[in-house]
Amino acid sequence: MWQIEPSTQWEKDHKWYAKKRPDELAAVLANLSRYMKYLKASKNSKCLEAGFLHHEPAGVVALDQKGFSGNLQETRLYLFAVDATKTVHLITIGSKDEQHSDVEFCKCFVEQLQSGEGQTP
Amino acid sequence: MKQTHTTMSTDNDKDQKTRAVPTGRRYRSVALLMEREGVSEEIRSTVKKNLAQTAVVTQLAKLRHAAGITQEEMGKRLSIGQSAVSKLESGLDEELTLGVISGYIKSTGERIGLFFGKPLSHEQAIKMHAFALKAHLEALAALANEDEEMQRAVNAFFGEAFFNFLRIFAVCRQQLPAGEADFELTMQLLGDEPLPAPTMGPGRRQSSLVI
Repeated sequence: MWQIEPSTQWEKDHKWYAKKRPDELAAVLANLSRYMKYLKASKNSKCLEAGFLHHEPAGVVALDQKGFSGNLQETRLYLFAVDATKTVHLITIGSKDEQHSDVEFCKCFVEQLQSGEGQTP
Repeated sequence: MKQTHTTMSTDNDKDQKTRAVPTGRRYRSVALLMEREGVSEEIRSTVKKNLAQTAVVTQLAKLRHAAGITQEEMGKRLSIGQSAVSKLESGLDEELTLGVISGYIKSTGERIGLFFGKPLSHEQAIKMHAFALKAHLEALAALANEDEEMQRAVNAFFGEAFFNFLRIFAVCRQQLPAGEADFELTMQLLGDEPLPAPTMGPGRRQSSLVI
């Protein structure tokens, strides 16, 4: 059974988005729900394909806000799925403008996680 | 003037992102995540509305993933191309055609049922399924007349189905609050642990079935 684990950064981000861009937050959370359904159905988490899903370096996945009605600003929810523990780590949320630095931030998170440094506080 | 690209180029009131670690809190669904992480009722309601707009599209994409079919392969099977598959899977249910739904079902070897119009109440749904059951049981009974082997198989199935229906009723009946119904239905399978007996209310009749 796949589970979702937020990061300390995601905690901050979702609060900011809830205040400033609630519709964008709702859209990426709805796409997270769809992603989880695909993940549960699929045999390989790395082979998922969807219009709202983007494969970034280091196995990071970005879910965007597309697929729902309304004129929403470009938003990305970044996550990393670990097959061994069946855990989807929610890393951060950001805008399209922040994409480059957010991907670098996510790569650091994944490196820490894989080296065992990024453990639960 | 050339704009310097920084993490907070457009969202100045955000805090600088620093080192993040997993919180250790795990959730089995997005609904639970939102509830426990303090996402507002308004946002949760919008998420629900978004998912309702894409329920069929999501189900089709889920079937494709479960069958291990890529968007490119599905595009070939539907003769529409990969980008069209990506577009329809990113769209709303109202943009789907019955031809596309049918194509997905044929390609994945699965089946889905679609209802249009206002949802059935629980009572209406139970009645509808009861009529469907009756029709299927009658069809099976007709088949049983064809030969002895079929008769044995159908007889065995009727016994099993009868037991299962009664068991479902007995279990669900026990979930009702005490004193709401005027009868009790309990079942005891010989050699099995009996179901816990519910409290009898005043003026209630009890029916026991031992199989």
